[in-house]
Amino acid sequence: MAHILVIEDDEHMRGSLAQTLERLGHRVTTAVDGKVGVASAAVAPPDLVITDLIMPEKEGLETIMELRQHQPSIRIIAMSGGGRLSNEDYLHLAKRFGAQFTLAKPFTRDELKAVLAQALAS
Amino acid sequence: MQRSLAARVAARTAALRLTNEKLYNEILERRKAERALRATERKYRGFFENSIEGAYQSTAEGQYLNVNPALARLYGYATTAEMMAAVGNIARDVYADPEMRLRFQEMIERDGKVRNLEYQVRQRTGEILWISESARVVRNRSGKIVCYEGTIRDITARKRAEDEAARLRQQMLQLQKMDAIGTLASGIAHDFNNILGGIMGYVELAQDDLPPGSGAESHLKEVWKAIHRAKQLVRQILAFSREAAPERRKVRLAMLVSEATRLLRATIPATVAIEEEILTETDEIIADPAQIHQVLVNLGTNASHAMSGRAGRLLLRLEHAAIGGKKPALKLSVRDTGHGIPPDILQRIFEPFFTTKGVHEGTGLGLSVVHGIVKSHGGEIRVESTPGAGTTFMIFLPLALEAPQ
Repeated sequence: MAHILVIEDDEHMRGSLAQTLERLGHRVTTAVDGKVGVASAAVAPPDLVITDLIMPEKEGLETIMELRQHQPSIRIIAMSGGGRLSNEDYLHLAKRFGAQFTLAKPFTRDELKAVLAQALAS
Repeated sequence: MQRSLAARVAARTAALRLTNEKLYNEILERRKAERALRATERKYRGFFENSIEGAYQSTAEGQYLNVNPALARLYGYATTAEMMAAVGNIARDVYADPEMRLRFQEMIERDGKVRNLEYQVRQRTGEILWISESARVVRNRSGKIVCYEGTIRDITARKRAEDEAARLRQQMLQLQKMDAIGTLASGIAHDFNNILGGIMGYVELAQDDLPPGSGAESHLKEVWKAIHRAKQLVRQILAFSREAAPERRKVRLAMLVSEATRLLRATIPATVAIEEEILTETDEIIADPAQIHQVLVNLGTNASHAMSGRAGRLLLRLEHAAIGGKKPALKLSVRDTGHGIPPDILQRIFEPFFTTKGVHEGTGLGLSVVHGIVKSHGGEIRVESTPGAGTTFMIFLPLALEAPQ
């Protein structure tokens, strides 16, 4: 069981992801944007962060950089629904900014489980 | 008696001499006037004959009375005589659109003159020229038209440049429109993927909670299929917004640079001097020409924004280089003399949605698109900037190797 911080501004995405992770046996903290996420990670450092990339307040790439500054060994999965650039491009950027793993939205539970297993084993 | 006769003869002779002198003087005056008139005529004839601009006199009905060598040359004739013989009717033999002659006549007879009227004419060889004509109606004392006389200038080069600029402006508008549609489509796609992500998660949670064999399970399976259809649709919208899958073919980078330079010249303020330096002869890369074009236009437009409101210089340079010191490549530099980028901002410029422009002025996507395109072509991008002095973007793209076909 791991402590996972989910940073996601979309209510339904956040809600379903948090419940799914709980059912998979993890303890979950949620944050509605990068600013809240970074603050939450400072108070209770998680084992793993799953963060969205395009968000209000503090967007994902900046969030990733700050999380890594505070906790250099933190494991991060970046997820994105794409945009002007392809999903691959955003996730490629996220890797350059310090996320080790990526998930393109929308993803199935099996896809999530596969990336989680990799991330938690690392 | 004899004395009085002698006196009368003398008086008469004197009067005659006076009259003679007067007559002589009058003849002298007239000769002088004639000489002056001839000189004036020669002067004006010389002016007409040697003028750089085409000039003519014609009847209102459309026959030339007189044309100068410049006009004959302009219309493709060796001599004025050849032109006078060939052109029987101006409307039919000179005007590209004979209807235009009617409009010309209507104007000149209503206003007595036309100034800089622009229309097309046909040369002897059939070639079309754009000309600008200024002409007036010459009338006699009773108001009857004696002739038209006018001058004609060749403005073909200017018209072609104007047409080219209009075409490029249209192309730029099209690019901007595509960009706006792309931005809208990608925004929709992003939000839709988030919504689908939520639905997907909740459907799987609901499936967990159903007892085996429940009727709702088959309904949820249908929802699942519908989600996948929606996912495909979003993928299609995104593909459209990026103009489908990128193309990859051998292209000459120098030509793309020249094309972009032309487009930028037509669209950015004239206070910015644009220079192009092609310093290599090998310029083939494997690329999507539309995407490389986008890179050049985005960088050029940013550069012009950095120099807005003042004079500046934009240099596009293409030269030979190597990626990582070994892989043969082309180096494309886009340098401006604008306000430069402060160091704290410099490290963020390639981030999507990062912008220093106000709301509605910039999307913050220009440079991230540039970065994405360069990377997807196996290239590198670097930037150097001195606040107050300018910025240089350097793009390295691998040269196309001479691979067997």
